[in-house]
Amino acid sequence: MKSIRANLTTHIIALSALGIAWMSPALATEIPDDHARDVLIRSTLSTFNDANMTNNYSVFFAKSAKELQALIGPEKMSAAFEVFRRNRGFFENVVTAEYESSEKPVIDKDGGLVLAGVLKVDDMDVTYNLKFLPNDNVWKVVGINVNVNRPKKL
Amino acid sequence: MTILDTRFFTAAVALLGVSMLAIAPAAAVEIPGDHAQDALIRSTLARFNDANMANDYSVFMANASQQLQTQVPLEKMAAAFEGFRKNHVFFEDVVAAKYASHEKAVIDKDGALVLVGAMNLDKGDLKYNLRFVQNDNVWKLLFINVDVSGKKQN
Repeated sequence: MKSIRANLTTHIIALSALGIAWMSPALATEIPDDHARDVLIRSTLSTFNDANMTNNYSVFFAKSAKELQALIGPEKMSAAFEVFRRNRGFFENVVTAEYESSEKPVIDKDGGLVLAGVLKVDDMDVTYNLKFLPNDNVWKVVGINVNVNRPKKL
Repeated sequence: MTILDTRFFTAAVALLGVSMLAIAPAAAVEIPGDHAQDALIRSTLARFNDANMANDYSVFMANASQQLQTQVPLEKMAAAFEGFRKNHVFFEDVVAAKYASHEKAVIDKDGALVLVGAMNLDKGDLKYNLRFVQNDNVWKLLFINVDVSGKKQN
């Protein structure tokens, strides 16, 4: 039996370059260590998946950066991520999934921490691109792009 | 500088034994494998922590078993775990924490899956006692008891 990759869902919520004038400069922040990055990635994706599973984005919204909260409310988030619910693109096991690959973390020109990679969740590849900003010295999500690929049986 | 081990908080939400009539008999259910147990534990504790951090138990409750949802209203749950919020006892790193110990998983006489153990957090230790029942062939939370102790610096 062959498998092919089917793109199930892809979505992004992010700030535009215009909206980030108040961010800290890149030099003011340090890249977290491996363990802290792992926690950031898994906890963010877990909260995001919970929101998709329940169609309730209030907790995901509450945990996000104030810069993101200022731009988009839970209702808009619900609409933006509807495709995850429609296609049941859920990945609860992201908390225990193995990394397939990960890019080197960077602090971008806006002072945002960018974490990107792929996690193998059961039979799915979950490709993530997450961007965080420091809010009161804690990294909070300001951009999320998740793409779930599921093998399609022929 | 002295490091003291200080108990922060413990709280539980549970159904009473008399409410368990709807649970499947023990013989009808199997204990999940190690990986599935790990995912259940971490995703439940991460969701619980999200609820405490956001003071919003709606997502946590939506993921719980029908039995728990019926018995414990949101307001009661928020009240039960108020100590976590008041004392800022949060453990986002539970998604990547190492197990300090764990008991052998069991299906109890009521057909509920019982998972008990301890994890080493970045800033303390967490003990958990979780109980799940099957709703539509998926393990859903019925009972949670979490005990977090931390290291305070003097």
